[in-house]
Amino acid sequence: MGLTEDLLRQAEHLIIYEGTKSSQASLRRAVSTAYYALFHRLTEDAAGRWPGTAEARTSFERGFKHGIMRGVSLEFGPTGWKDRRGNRQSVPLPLQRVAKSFATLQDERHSADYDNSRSWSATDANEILDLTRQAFREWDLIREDPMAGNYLIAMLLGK
Amino acid sequence: MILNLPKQEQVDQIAGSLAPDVVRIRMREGLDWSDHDALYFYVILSDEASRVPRLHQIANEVRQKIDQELGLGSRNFLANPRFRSETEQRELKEPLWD
Repeated sequence: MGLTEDLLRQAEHLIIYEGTKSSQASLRRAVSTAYYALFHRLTEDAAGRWPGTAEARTSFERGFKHGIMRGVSLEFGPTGWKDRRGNRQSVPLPLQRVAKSFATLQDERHSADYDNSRSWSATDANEILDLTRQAFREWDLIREDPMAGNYLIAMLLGK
Repeated sequence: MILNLPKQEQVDQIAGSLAPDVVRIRMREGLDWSDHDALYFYVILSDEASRVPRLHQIANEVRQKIDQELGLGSRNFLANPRFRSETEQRELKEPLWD
């Protein structure tokens, strides 16, 4: 089992291990962990498309910047993605869903890690975990599509 | 500032169409983590609907309706629903959700 699946299991464990009264700390860590599961799923997939040592691929993964990934993810929507030449290309539905979920999860992760004024519920954390699982399933469906490759490249380069 | 914001009445219609699973939805304008405009939908679910796996089904329906019926699916900002049960809100008592 890889890191990304382990992260998903850990997020689930954090939500349930204290029973019906999960602590705010556990719920926050679960949300943050769910986001990083998808983050690593995508960046590992991108790095795996390049030959090189494990160390070089790790450096490659570190080239992804959260803010750039956010902006690009919002561009991969129903109206299509504009490539470098300004041509609008249609985005397959599963990829639209992955991109939207990524942007959502990233925002929730930031809130979980830094916004101490927000209270979390098990319902919210469970729903975020399910959104992550759905994004994994959709990514597996679409990852071989050329537009999925475009999405990864755009998230790395900003366009 | 988001132009052509949906109206709370439209949001109430979505909530009504998903009753009794959805008790109410409150729409709030805010900023996402990167200080860009965002819309947040605070969704109170019945205790029954907030249990897995029913939660996942109803949450997907809410997401779909927000995108399609409010026309937010193609907008270039975040429109995120957040969920909690009636019992959780009674305990947490946050005005954003009331």
